[in-house]
Formats: sequence, C-alpha cells, structure tokens
Amino acid sequence: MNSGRSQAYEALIDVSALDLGTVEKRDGFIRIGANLRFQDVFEHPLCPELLRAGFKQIVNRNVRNMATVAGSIAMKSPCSNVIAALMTLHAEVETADANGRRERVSLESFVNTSSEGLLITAVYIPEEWTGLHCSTRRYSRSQNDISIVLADVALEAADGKITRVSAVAGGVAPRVVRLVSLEAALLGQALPDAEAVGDLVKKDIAAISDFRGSAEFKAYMAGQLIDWCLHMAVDGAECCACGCEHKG
Amino acid sequence: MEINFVLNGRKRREEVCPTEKADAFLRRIGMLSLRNGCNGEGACGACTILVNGRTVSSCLLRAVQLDGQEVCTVEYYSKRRRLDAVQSAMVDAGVVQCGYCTPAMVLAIEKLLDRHPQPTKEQVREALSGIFCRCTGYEQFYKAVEIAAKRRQDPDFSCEYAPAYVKDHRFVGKTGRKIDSSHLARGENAFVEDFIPPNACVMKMMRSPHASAYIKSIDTSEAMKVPGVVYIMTHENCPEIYYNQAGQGYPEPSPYDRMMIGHKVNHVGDRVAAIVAETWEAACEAEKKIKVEYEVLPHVLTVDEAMAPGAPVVHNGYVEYVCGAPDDLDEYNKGVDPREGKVIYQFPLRGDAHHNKASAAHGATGDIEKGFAEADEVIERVYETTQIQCTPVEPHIVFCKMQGGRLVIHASTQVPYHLRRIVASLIKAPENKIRVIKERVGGGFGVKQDIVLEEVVAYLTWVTGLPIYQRFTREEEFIASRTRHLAKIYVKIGGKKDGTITSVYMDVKANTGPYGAHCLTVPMNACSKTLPLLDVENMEFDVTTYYSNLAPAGAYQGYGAPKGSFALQLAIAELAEKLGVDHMEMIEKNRIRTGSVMNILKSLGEGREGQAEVVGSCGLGEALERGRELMEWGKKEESDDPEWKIGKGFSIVMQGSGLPNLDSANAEVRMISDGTFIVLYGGADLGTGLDTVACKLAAEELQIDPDRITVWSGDTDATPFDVGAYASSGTFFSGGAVHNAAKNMKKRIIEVASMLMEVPAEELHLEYPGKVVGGGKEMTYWQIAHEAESGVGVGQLMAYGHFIVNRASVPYGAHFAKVKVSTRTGEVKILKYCCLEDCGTPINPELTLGQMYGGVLKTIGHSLYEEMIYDEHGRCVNANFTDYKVPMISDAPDDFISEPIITNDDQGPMGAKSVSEITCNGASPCIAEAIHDAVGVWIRDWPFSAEKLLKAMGKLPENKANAD
Repeated sequence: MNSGRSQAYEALIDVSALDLGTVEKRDGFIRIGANLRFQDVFEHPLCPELLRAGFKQIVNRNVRNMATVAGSIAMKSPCSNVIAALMTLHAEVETADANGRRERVSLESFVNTSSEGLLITAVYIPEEWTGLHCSTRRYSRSQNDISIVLADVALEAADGKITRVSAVAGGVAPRVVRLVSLEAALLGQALPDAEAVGDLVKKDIAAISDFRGSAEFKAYMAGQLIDWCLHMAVDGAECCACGCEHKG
Repeated sequence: MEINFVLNGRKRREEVCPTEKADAFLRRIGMLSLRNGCNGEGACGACTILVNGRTVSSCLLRAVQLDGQEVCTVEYYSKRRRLDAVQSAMVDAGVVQCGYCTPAMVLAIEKLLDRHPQPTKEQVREALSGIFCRCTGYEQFYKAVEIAAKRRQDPDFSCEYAPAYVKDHRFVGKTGRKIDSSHLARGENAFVEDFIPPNACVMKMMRSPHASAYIKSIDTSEAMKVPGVVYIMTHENCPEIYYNQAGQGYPEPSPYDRMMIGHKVNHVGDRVAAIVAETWEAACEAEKKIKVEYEVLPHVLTVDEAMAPGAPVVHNGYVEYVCGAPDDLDEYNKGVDPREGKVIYQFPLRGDAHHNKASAAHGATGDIEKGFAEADEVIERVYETTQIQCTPVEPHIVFCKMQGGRLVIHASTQVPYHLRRIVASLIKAPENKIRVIKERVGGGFGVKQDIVLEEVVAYLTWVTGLPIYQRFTREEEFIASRTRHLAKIYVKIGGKKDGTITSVYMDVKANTGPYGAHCLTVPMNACSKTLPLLDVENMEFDVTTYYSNLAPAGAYQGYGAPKGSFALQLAIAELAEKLGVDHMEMIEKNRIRTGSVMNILKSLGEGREGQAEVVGSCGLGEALERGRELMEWGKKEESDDPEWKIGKGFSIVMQGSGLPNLDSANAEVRMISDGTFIVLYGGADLGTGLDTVACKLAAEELQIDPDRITVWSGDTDATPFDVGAYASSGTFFSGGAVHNAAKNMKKRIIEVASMLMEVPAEELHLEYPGKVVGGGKEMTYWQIAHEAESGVGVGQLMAYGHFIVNRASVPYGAHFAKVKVSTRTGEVKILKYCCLEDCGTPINPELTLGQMYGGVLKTIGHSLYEEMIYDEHGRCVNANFTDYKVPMISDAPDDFISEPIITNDDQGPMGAKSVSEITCNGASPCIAEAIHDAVGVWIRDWPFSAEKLLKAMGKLPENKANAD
C-alpha cells in the first residue's frame, strides 16, 4: 500500500544492536542503559518509582515495548513523561561523540542545549533522590494522549517543613521545565496554599498556547497539578498514577 | 540488502530495501493480516506483530530491524484453517465486527495469556492499550479473554457468550458465530487491499493547500516526464459533469455542486490533480513537478462567517434546477463567474448558494407562540457541536480494473448500487458496464456512504484501461472524506410548573463544508429523530445548512440525531431545573408511548412530504425503568476525595429503521443441488453482522442450520438491488427482503414437496433440520432438490423477496451516565454508563451488544475530546491520530452496561428494529447533565474539555480558548 512504502531519509541508524547495558547500581547511581526499552526498565526492580509511574503514564503497551530511554531523551519532547520523571530525580545523561569520548551532563542541561553528533549511552539517577517521597500527575484529553500538562515532584520533609525538593513541569512550555523559583521558595518552609504554589509555578514557565489549550489554561493546570503532587508527596501517599509505595 | 529472521517459526532470508517499512515488507511477503490505519504514527496498533514475543507496531519499524529477530503474525495461529483458543473466543464473544483490528488483538491477547493465564481486567486493559477498535467499544474483549483463558485449559470450554434474549426461535435471538468472523480472526484476505495485484497502478491526489482559490494555471508537462507516470487529470481535462458524492437514493436531496476536479478549490485538501503512476514514488515525484498557480480567495469557516452580509461565497456560480426552478433564476444567475462552476438542484431545497445557503427546511405542529404563552417558564439556549471524523480503522480504499470490456470496482463501500450509478454518470456508460464488488469493510460508520475516491479511480481506469487503486492516508481521511456536520442549535422551550412541556422551537444551523452532501437530511435529522420523542402539542423547527471552506461534512452514524438530541435533551433538563421539576418526572410526563401520534413527522420528510405516524412498539418506558434501577437513580453519591464530585444524568433517544417510501431492498434464495441454500441480497455488511442477520433469518424460516446457508451480498452483478447500508436500514430493509425471500422459498418448498409427496400443501410444514413433514411422510431438502433438478423436475427452487414499507419501526432507548468531575482541574471521568435500547428482536445478541457499546464509546469520545481543529487559514491542525484523540480501551467507562430492551415489532423481520445508529444519540446530553449534577454548570458545546469546565466553574476567566 502507498502508506507503507519506503520513505527517503538522509541517514537511518539503528542502534538496537549496541550493548549499552542494563539497569544496575553503580557508584551511588542507578545506571540505565540507553537503548533499554521502557517496558524493560519498568519491570526492573531497580527502576525508581517515579520513573515507573512516568512509564505507566505512557498507556500504550506497544509503545512501551518499542521506545527506548535514550530515544525519549533525544526527542526532547516537552510532554515527555520520562524526561520529567528523570529530571525530577536529577538524572544525568552519558553521551559519546564520534571519537568515542564520553561525557556526563545533567539531563536539564542536555535537553536545553544542542546534542548534535552525540550518542546517548546511559542515564544515571543519583540514589540520593530516588528515596524521596515522590508524586506525579498529568492532564491529557484521553488516556493515550500525550501529557498536555505534567507535574512531577520529589521531596523530603521534616517537622512539617520541606528540606529537599525537586519539582518539574512538562507540556506547558517548549521544554520540560525545572521549577527553580518554586523549589527555592519551598525550602525550609511548610507547604503554601494552592494559589501561592500556582503563582510560583507561573514564574518559572512561559506557557504556550496551542490547539490543545490556551497558555492561561496550561499555566493554571501546571500550578494545580504541582500543588496536588506536593501535597501527595508531603503526605507520603502513594504515587497517583502507579500505586507504588512511597519511599522515605 | 539481505535480512535473516524467523517468521512464524520458520527461518526466512529476504531482500529488503533499507528504508522499507516492516509492515509493508511483511505484507509484501504474504502476511496479509497486517493492517495499517495511521500511516506510521504507531497510534492505531493495527499493524501489531510480535517481535521476540512482544507486541510492537510494525509501522514504526524498518524491515531491516527484523534482522536476527523472531517475528510472529496472526498467521502463526491460523495454521490449517484452525482457530486457536484466542481466535475462537473472540469469535464467540462477538468482538470480531469489521475485523480490521482483529489480528492485532489476537496477538495482544495471546501474549497477555502467556504472561497472565488468568488476567485481571486491568491486565486486559493494559495488554490491549495500544490497539484502536472503532467498532466494539472494547467491553466484550474482557469476556473474550475470559473465554480464551478457560479454553486454553479446556479446548471444549463453552459458556453463555451473551444472553439469549428470544426464547422461541432456534437461531434468531441466540448467539451464533458471525459468518465471516472466523475468516477475519485468521487474518485471511478479506479487504480491498488484499486483492490488489502487484502490477496495479496507484492514484495519488494532489490537494489544495488553500481553503479557497481559483487555479489560475496548472502545468503537468514536467510531471508527465517522470518515469512511471501514466496519466494526470486536472480540471483542464476533467469532464464537465456535476454530481454529488452522497450515496443517497436518486434523485438526491443534495445539490450537484462539484466536478471530479474543479477550476476552483473550496477547502484545504480539495482535489487539484489526480496522478496515475506505476509506483507510489513516481506519483510523489510527479506531484512535486506539477506547477500550480493559485489565485487565493477569502474564505469562510463558520456558520456565522458564512451567513454574514458580504461574506465570501463558496459557490457563486450558475444555479440550475432539474425540476422546480424559481421564476427569477435567470436574474439570480446574472454575471456569475464560470470558474465558480455550477450548483444543480434535483428539486428545490430552499437553498441560496449565492449566500452560502445550501438548503433549508421548516415545519411545525400546533402553535408554538400559544404554547409559550401558556408556559410558566420559557428558556432559550444555544448548543454547539463540533466536527468529528468517523475514523474507521481501514481508510477509504478502492481498486478498479477493466475486465471483458467492463469496469470492475472493488470497493470498501456502504452503497455498492449508488456507487455504480454515480460512476455510470461520470463515465457516461450504462450501468450494465460496471460491476461493483463490496469487499469486507474495515469500518464504515457513515463515512463510506459517500463516493469520495471511487469515482475518480473508476473514471481513470475507464479512460486508461489500467488497473488502478487508491488508498487514503489518515490525513486524507480527515480532510477529504466525510465528517459529522458542525451545528449551532438554538432551542426555545417552555413548560408549566406541573412539568408539562407546552412548546418547543428548534433552529438548527449546520455547516456542511464546501459541498452539500446530505446538507438537507443530516440537519433535519436533528429534529426528526428528537422532537417526535415528545408528546407535545406545539413544536416548530427551522433548519438551515451553510456552505463553508472547512473539510466536507456528510453522514456519520446517528446522522443528525446526536447533535439534535444533545440540544433538545439538555434543554429539557435545563427547563426542569428552572421550573424546579424533577427531570425524570418531566420526561415521564411528556414522552411518547405506544399509540401516541407523532404529528411533527408530517413536516419532516426527507425532501418529500412526510406523514404523521402512530407509535408502534415502544420500549422507552422499560428502558427508563431499567436504567433507573441500574444507576440507582435518585441516590446522591459522594466521592471519598473532596476534589472530585459525582453526578448522574440521563437522556432518551430514538432513531429510525431505514426510510419509509424511499428505501427498498431485494433478495433471492436459491436451493442448490444438495438441499442447501445460497442467499443473494444487496445489503452491505460493514462488519455489523448484517450477513449473519440474513443467514439467521433464512435459517430460522427454512429450519436448517446456518452453516447450510451461504450468503452472498453487495455484488452488483450477482445480487439484487439494495439502497445500501445507511439510515439504520440494514436489518430492517435488507434483512426484511431476505426474510421475505425465505418465506417465499418456504412456500415453494412446500408446494413442490406437496406434489412429490402427494400430500396436500396445507398438511405440510418444515421441520429442522431441513425436511418437509406431513401426512405421515417426510422428505428431505436433498431429495426435493434432487427431484426438482432432474430431467422431469420442476427446475431449481428459487424465491425472491422484496421489502418496502410506508412506516418504519422506530427504536427507542435511554442512556444513563455517572461521572466524576474534578473541581480542581475540570477533568471528567465516566464512572458508569448504561445504554438501554429497544431494538425489537436482537437477531445477533452478541453483535447487538457490540453495536451498542461501540456507538456509545464513539459518542463519549465526541462529548469529551474528539474535535477537528482549524487554524485561521482553514487548515485542520490535528488531522492524525496523535493529535485527534479517539477512545481506546483505557478510555471506556469502568462500569459499562448495555442491555437491549426486547419488544416484538410487527413491521421488521421477526420483530427486529435497527440498533446501531441510535446508540450514538444519548451520550452527550446525559454526560452534560451528569456534569451539571456534579458541579452545577451546564456545558453547552462539545467537547466538554477541562478548560471549558474550569471557565464555567469560574476557575479560569471566560476569554478566548484554544488560542492560536
């Protein structure tokens, strides 16, 4: 059929035959081989719960059976559940250039800079972040839709005050965004009310309008979903999407 | 390059092109079970294969990526024509409707059961999460998996696959395998794409990038030089014949307002040049070399724009009438630009093309002003519906060839005979020169009622003599086939404090896009399938349809009823609230019952004068009662989570069963040499099980097993005339014709048997399995056939049946929804949905349920997220399955109930009414009412998005939504 005919590409490289490792603990990190499929990582006992929840948000099993961690990162999609979860966990990306030179950079840096000519070889998640209370929630039109607005949170709290926090929003802007103003404002504080959280979220995102929703709607939703995730994490409740037991 | 892999347990070595897609490659080497519904987006899952035991979408893989892998397709499970546990379970559970997604589902369930031999509902949902089925609503897949799991342990396992709703028949109303389902479950050749020979040329349509423009010049000379290009048709060499693509009875109540390729393009995606080439690549290359100069014109996208004074005009050309031309027509046509083409009305539709008005209608019963004056409360509301695409998983496809000097068209169509007529008019040949063969159809839902690609391919085959096919891309399916008309519906309704509705007025303004297919009848249906539900003295309606430069609208399951139902049912709920009356009590007080007279139908004929009808069998009361029971109506429920509020709503619905005095169907039954039968009828089974309906009706009447009856349908050479599958006519009309033919065959058998047995006919009767008994004697059908066909016999036994009516049976129903709404985010989740439909006798119970679930889930999608969205240039920005969302299994309600309400109708075959379309009419109003019950806001336009709810709840300011 015409729709299945070959298409012209300048170059098409299949990296599936490369052995880039599995999921393992290494030097205080959980290392995930770059061309592992989502489903492989999802089923691995070392998979951090927040990342597992991120995979589960990708409802389509066929996609989870095919998509790789590296492929997802390389796409740099603003709606990527996997990038949002990994960024929340302060993941680092290991790359190799054409000369085989390896380098590790933060995922945040990777998605915000050019990565032309680089091959992703692994993702490293610091174990110090995987044990925190975490939560994620997304808004999409239907279950198989992309995440139109996505919120991921990991935090630690003591005596009713937040001692460590990582908060990320997806879908709303051209890239997955770390909510630095919010993180800074929360440290050492008790959770503010939803309106204050929403205001802080808006400071960190330049929401974009598209046919899926207006910028105003997305910014509002980001604030609401982040606020919900903060409460869930603080309450040490179960991750909303995966039913996993929270750590900590 | 060469790849080595294992395919279905056997080592294979194959040559592949490095960029060839895996699904195309596998089909090329004979794995026909692989389908493709999304052009490589990986969104529909129809191309699912197993790679090393995992389900993957092969359209996302290149063939080279199969190197070294173990690949499995459904052919592996289909060896020696067998059905394995999963396939047979799917067949028995009735989940093989059109069958296009079936092979993919088989593979997903096989692997699910390998992982989880006794899977939970959640595990089933997760396993099937990537495969799109538009037909079934997914609910019966849970049953299929349960049966398969047990059958893997015990191959003889059987159970009640669906309730037997009718006790006094042997086959009708009882479960029994859909007659084409085994074939489809094995993934055998069935669809048009399976019959296209490798030497066929492909036709590619070059399409307009502009919403409105004249083609100033077009140069195909360089394109014709591309090796492999054999013919290009543009407006310059296209015959000047006007027609309408609507597959409706002739003369159509739709204007002839287009040529195959016109001088003016009227929407983004309109036809510019039809390129015939030996290869797809050559056609693509040629398209790049066609030089087109456009004179871009201003366009209109909405009804408001189209009806504004001085608005750009979509059809500003000559208007003609075959009959009933107005006296001032010459004046009307003065000074028109010939590039605009013509609009030819077969008869007046009250259109005014020069002001973008395609058609209009008006009707009334009683005196609405008197009714409003009597009311204690009168409300006026405007409801809006959006443009929805039917999205059959199999896109439009056609393959044409010349054979013996005749044109043979293999089509995926709902209307083989209308297709033949329309093509005949374009090639200027008599209809006996054309044969249309309807292959299995991978989903229709109305979109295949229209002739949107067949006529061009047929014409080009006729001109060139070459075998040619065309298959729409998913984008073409959105922008160049058919969609649900958009509508803006004003409702004014008045009532008394005792709950009596005193008066109703509906004003439907519909947007038909650039061509007027179904422009009168779809919007009229918004009134004709809603107002008659009310036993109200004073009712009036206006219907006006406007041209615009959106993608074309047309028929979609439910026709105009879903939008009319949304508006009227919700208006009644709003009026009840305003009056402080219980909505349910108001409906009970004002609804029709058996014996009520539907006077409003007098003014609701489809282009002809209508007639008032007395309500015959009516299961509406039972449907409401059952729904109240299932939904625990009246019990207010609270969520454990204060963020979420729970609400309930309901609606009542109706449809028709074909078109009285317009539709007709014919059938023939032949007894063959061994006393078995062949049924030939013109109906078009779209996966709904119509052929099985035909088979069961004949089997019941003739008292013989269904597998002793072969059904042949939808072949214009072999089968008698039928208008086709639309307007809910299949079971009622086509089935009715088969039933009549079978009754005549019964008479003939008894007549001949009487002679042979020397027993008076009145003493004889048919007895299962296939014999005539009476007068102490019996004779088998085999003996009768043998005698009849002998040198001294009466000749082969053949009987004919015809079906027409002047009053069609009306199905009724009630829908109930329980939703939860987030007060934080505006999200809506359907917790429970109950669909109760009075469909008379459900001839195929498991398929009846599948039709009900499928129709409901489609319209849950319409209500919550399906919507074609355009930019300011008239380009649809979400013409694909990534951006236009359709319901997948994870979107179906957790608690999803469909039940037929059994009535015995005196008109339809063995008491049957239609079932499919009516199921699309209830979701929107009952969900909208449930939302109101939950959070106190009325959402009056589709889809009920989170953003709209947040605005309605005051969480977001009411300003422009969906900017950019």
